[in-house]
Amino acid sequence: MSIDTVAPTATTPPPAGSARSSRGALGQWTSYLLGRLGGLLGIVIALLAITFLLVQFVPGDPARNIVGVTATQEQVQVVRDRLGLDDPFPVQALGYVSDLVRGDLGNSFVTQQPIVDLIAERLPITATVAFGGLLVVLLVGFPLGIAVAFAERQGGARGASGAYNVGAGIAGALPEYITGTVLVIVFALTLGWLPAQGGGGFTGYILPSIAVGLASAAAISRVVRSETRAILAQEYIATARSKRISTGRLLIGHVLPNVATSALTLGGIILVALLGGTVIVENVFNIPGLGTQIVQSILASDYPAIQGIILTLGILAALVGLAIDILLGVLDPRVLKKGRLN
Amino acid sequence: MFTQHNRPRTRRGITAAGIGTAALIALTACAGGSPSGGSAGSVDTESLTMELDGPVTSYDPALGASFQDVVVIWSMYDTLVALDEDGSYVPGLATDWEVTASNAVFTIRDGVTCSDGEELTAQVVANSLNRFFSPDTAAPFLSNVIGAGNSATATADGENVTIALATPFSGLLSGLTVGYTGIVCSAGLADPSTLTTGSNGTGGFIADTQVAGANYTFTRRDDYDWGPEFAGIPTDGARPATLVMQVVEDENTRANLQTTGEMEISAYTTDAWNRVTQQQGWTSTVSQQSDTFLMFNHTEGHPTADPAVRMAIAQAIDRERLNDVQSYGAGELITNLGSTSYDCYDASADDYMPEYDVDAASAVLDGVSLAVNGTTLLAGGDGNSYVQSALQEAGADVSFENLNNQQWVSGLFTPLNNWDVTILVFANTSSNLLSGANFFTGATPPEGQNLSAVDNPEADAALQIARENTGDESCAALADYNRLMVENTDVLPLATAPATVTFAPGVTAMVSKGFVRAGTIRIAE
Repeated sequence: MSIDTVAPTATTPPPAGSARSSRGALGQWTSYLLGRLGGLLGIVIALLAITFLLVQFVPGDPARNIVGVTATQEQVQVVRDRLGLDDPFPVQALGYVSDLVRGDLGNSFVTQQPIVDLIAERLPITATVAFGGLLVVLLVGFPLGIAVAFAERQGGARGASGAYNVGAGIAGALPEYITGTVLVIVFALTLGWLPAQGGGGFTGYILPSIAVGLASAAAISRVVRSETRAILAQEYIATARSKRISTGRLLIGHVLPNVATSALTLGGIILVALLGGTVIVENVFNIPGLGTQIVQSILASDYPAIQGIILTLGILAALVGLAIDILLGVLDPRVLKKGRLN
Repeated sequence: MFTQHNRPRTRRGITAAGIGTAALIALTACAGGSPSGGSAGSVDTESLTMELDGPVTSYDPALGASFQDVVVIWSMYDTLVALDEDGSYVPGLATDWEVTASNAVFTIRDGVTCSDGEELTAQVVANSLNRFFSPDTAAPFLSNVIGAGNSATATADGENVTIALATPFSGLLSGLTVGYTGIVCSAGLADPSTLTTGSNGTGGFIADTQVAGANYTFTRRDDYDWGPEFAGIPTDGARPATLVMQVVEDENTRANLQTTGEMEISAYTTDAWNRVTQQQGWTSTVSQQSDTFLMFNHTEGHPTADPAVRMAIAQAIDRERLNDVQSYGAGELITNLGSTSYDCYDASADDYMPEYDVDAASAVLDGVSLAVNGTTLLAGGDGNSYVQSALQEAGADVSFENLNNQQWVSGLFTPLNNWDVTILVFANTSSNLLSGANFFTGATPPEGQNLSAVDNPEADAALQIARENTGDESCAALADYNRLMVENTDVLPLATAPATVTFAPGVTAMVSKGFVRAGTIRIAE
């Protein structure tokens, strides 16, 4: 080490406490991120193993499904050979992993389309439905929960509170396929305002987004109402009110920041749940997303498609979780020290 | 004072609480407009959407195997001959033909061109057929065209193509009516990989784009003026410039899309079509598509290995009631292994069909354990449920399973053998009695297609005569075969099952065996 390199440090030393603090924060972040990335890697490996084993238990012979009932056994065998279905299990597994490392998820048994292309075509559609659902949660669930909490705090609005409880209870209990069917009957078949076919354009995503997000919006509104009520019961809120701070400022300055952490955590969990919920909704609205595809693939014993889609959705869920963890670390550094969320 | 302050805040709270609900309504209302397909009753000639049952395996005719494959293939490829709705053969790419059990000679139509401009010659046709016949191609439908274990070659001579079979098979002509034998032109034969998502045929449409498993788009060939000479082919109106085939597996969703004007043509096996035709101007046509038979598992150890049990089961089933449940009474009762429109159908089989007799059935079936399963393909599997309840009524102890079609097919072809009674639903695209018989003779799965392990040497011998001969000799042997099978209750023919196809106002098309022939679609201008 040369003198030149140490000289600046010696002449302009940063405050000792600050350096320790920076090094400490950096160390915490490094350890935090390494822990999270390690977890992500573990999830990917587990997903790989599970999906590969899972498809072995999917009933039916993919080759017979492809050639149909009229084909002879010799023709079925030709297809089995082509697909490598009779290769020993370790050979199949090794081949799959080595292809995966090269970014190749194989070809669909049914349509012969590369799985990477299939996912690239359908993932944006599923993601649009899921984010649409999240938008419904954010635009309906959060404001509703906060509004009801404010209304209830005053001790009045019993009727509104009761109506809210009934409405949120029903909406939260309805499965996505019932909600979707009701929405189609009302808004597509009866009123004719929106298409029964989902996807394709903005209007095609409205009903599916509501169907996938409504139950979560109802559930989240209850959580937000409860959180908001707890915050409004704090002494500092009474102090703020005594200073005649307006409801708007109270909301923005005190309630929202406190609700944000739990909201963010829940938002991530909900987004992952919404991705799963699209499987049902896509079928109700005939949307060509990953949900529709995975149902078709399971029925047809299309192993590469099943593996590829589950792997993609699993990694996506893990990435959403990682992003939320990082965001929470930024918003609330206490989680770095704990190394985990509350 | 507190109360005075509280009231407006409460109102604001109520207002805010209503925002969510209002936003939900507003979100839908503000979108306004009409569904993307336009309102019901107005169909433009530029684009037409029709329903497809499921994902397409390949556009390559030789590799097709499913309902949806054949619908798609028929839009891009023509066959030598075609089968009209009444079961008669009509010219396709061949204008004349002479057929025996060992060979067939076809005269190829003049003036036909391929989608890339190549002139269709007898040599092109022979080359295409030889690819289909080649074991290397592994065409799933091959055994239905030339017979299992057989081989064939096609040769061109002037304007004629001759097909020679190694051993006689009387099902050749009917096999050649099916889309899987569609004629592929030279460029496609030179590089068959281009046929997976592209096309190189003589059909009315050319493959355009596709989202595999979701929708398939085709472009009209303006010069297409040949094609099968069906008797009822529509002639008025324009052909759509763009044809979209959209995969919609759920029949209620199909009805929703038709009710909102987002789909012009769709097929149904449930009564969901009722909702569609209630709209003004919509029409429907009923076309017999599948043949159904009751199969009994003859494998040793199964109660149905006993002929007395099989007869009792047959007596417990009221076929008319089953037809009502299975297809809302729109099917036709059958007594042979196929529809009454097939060649060699033996009407005298009515004389030896088991009579419906619950008392006689109960005497045998009381306390017998039976495993019943079936596919949900027809009316969601209601016919299977009827079989279950009929057998229970006769005193049998019944376990029951309704399976989706792929699961059911897979179950039949595995050695699991966990069923005693099932309804075989067979879409016999080649419309001959020999194809149905394939499921009741030869080796059992996984080696063969004898799904219920029938062992009836006398019937097999009659079937062999029917396969190796044509005309009256073949028909007489088929009649013998049918009698031997039914009298031994090796199978019980039930009924045909139709597809009801619905059309938007002004739209017409030829429907054959429940399949819409895309090349015949016309839209009133």
